[in-house]
Amino acid sequence: MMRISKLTALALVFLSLCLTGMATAAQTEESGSGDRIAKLTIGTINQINDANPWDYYFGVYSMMLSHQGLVRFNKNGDLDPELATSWETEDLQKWTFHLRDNATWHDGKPVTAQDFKFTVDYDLEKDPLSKSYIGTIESVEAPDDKTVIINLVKPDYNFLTTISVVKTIPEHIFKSVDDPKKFNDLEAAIGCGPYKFESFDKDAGIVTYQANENYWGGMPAIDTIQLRMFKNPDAMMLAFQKGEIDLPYYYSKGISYYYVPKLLDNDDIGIEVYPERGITNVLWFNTAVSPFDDKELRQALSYALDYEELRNMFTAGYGTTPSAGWIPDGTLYFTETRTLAQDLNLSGTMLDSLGFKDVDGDGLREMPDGDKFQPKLLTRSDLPDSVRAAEMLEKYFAQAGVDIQIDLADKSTHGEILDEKKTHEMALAGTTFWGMMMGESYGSGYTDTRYYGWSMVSDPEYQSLVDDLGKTQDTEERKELAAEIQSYYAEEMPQFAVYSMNIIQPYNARLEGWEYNPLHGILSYGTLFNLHRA
Amino acid sequence: MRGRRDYLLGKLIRYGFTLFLILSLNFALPRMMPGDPIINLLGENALHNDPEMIELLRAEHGLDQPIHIQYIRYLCQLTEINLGYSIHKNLSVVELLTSSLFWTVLLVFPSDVFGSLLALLCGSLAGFKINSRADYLLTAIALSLYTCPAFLLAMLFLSLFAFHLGLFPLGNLTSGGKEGIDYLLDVVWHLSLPVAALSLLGGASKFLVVRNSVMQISDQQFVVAARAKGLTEGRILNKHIIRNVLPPFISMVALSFGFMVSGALIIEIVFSLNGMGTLIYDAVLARDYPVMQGCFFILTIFVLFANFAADMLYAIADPRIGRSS
Repeated sequence: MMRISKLTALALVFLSLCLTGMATAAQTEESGSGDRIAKLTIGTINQINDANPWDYYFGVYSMMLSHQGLVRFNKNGDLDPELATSWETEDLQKWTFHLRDNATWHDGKPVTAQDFKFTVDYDLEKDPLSKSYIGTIESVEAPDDKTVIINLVKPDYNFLTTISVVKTIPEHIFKSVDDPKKFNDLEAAIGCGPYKFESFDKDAGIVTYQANENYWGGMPAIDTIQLRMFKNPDAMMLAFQKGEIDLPYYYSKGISYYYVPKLLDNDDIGIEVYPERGITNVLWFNTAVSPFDDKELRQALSYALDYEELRNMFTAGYGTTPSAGWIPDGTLYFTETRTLAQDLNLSGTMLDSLGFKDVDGDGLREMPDGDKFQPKLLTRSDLPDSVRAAEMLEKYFAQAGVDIQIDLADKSTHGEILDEKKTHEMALAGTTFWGMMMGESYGSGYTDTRYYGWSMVSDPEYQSLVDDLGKTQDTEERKELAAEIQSYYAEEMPQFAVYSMNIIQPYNARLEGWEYNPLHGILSYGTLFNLHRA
Repeated sequence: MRGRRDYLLGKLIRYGFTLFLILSLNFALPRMMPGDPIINLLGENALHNDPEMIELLRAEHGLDQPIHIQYIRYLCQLTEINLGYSIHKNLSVVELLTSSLFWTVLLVFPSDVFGSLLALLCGSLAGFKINSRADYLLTAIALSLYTCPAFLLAMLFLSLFAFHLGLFPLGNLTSGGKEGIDYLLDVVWHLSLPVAALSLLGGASKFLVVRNSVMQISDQQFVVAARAKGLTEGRILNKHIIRNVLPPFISMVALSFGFMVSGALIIEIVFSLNGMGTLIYDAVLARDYPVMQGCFFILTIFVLFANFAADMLYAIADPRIGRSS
């Protein structure tokens, strides 16, 4: 009897603890004055380690909310003025920016041209990584408070894209900070954007921002924005369905298609599908090593894949297959090239003519010199879809008589091989919108050996096209160059798309005014100012 | 008495040597893995890999030094409890470890205690009443839990108790913005589900060991003699059988306490908790040498200490061990 009453008491204590917790559970608030949103809760699996702009994901969210650059991407993927109201250049090497008069830091001090000069100089001095994107800046001048002159080491048409990711930091805060990566003070998060960083509760996984009432562009539409971090996308989607978060958000990608059927049943949830400006999975050839230095072999292999099956299997109807010209539809000056489709007969004929024949009768082709042809396909082991895609490629190539060997590597090893050692033969890896804009855009950052060069292209014909893109301002000429680059990709095939998943973005349908841009997705500048109750 | 002291001293010397060996391995293993922390750091945002920039980054993290210099510096830093700075997270390793270790202990310690007690109670009952309905039922439950992937059980808990019934939160360690007793209650509320899942998962494997040990001991002559003397079944189980089950049970529990600090990766991911499991996982993926070294250092200390404690408890539970040594 005694034992039973003790157990009952214990159960009651436990139950009361649970109820206490339940009574204090956080709730998403929508009500504000008029159409204003009092609080927007964003769920994400991006992990912020500290409220330091040098922390990768805190830096990403700072760029969207609390910090600003000279220019920013709009919903069409073009660049709009941000801190700069206008700019001009005659030779693409010397760029002059005119800053707006009324921009202030969150502590009330004015934003000046000297702040921007300090930002670039400070980044280059304190953060070696910054050389990877602003290393082409020779010098920055600030002749007066509102004029910034940037001198580059060579002409660069794409410079506005590069400079768009440089977030301006306040000189009066950072001039006395020797190591910014270790400066985790509240002041480190002071910016000049529409939101002010308020707090980071690490245990709750919540980062809070408040609207900046002194913002030069007026008050944004949401009073408080909270980022709630999850380590598990399934838990995040459960929280979304339960109404605890208003927006499940991944930086530069959408949710997986297998959540969609469940979400479609919920009237409070809206779903938009946006075209992806990167490519989810690309087959890269190392064109610097034999036999992949032969474009006909690369073309023959491109005919072996069943693109329709891959698209159905990996995107469930929410994806596309970019054409042989590789650049995704929707990119400026996109041109139609050969549609990628399976043709095993053509693939076999081409391989035969190249001397890749089955000599020993085992159903698999040998090299022209009689050696076994077993190219390695480098694949990320930590991405289940990549592993499955590699297995599908293994099947398709086997149908064409090519015995590929899947070489699994984790993220770090995969990166080391592709970025540094360049010892791969073939590799599977995706690209992003920002990545496609790297170099002189049109994927040149991924292709050209002078940048990342995953397909190791150092062909003078290609590099001349890339260089011309960097030097040319004339619209018609740029259009021609873009078309030529796409023709080059379609003809030479240093890489080709396997499939591309569109961005599936669900949101709280009780709110309206969501706006998408290709760099930051639905958490765009337009959303911050246009969101209102439906 | 002298035998016991020699036994203790011998163990201490062996543990000291093991510690040095493991610390050296902790330094060598991350560097023997393929992959490079600096290349990993560059990520997608890097326009191109300028060799000069890579060298500067290496120098910033002391990776430009010859390997023996790095090793000596590593040992010196350990003596000062200075574990360096995370390459990837830009935070002091000690700070990262302190926070993660605290939450891990808060998650795994009660789970180990509950799981072990549950296993001892149910395992003894099932083993003592072998082939009874209670034995069948408990063994079936334990086997189901034992074979159930941790991810599945945790997601079932989350879906049922947090999403559908709304009794618990969908993750994290607190709701935020609370202080004092409210904060404590909030933490208990947040940790209830993960602790329950982890207790059941850990208890299931221990249950099977306890059940089999009790079953084997129940057949021995001294149990028959106790029964012949007219002792009650409860007294036979508590005073004679469980005492003999204790040494392997202690060894198992000690090991699980030792590995406690490696965290519970799957549970931490499902319930979005910041613990040692995710810290180690992220460090290995990013080849974050200082964090890996720091985590393995703490893990080594805990495992050695737990083994040492088990050795000592063995000697108490079974006095013959110390004497024979």
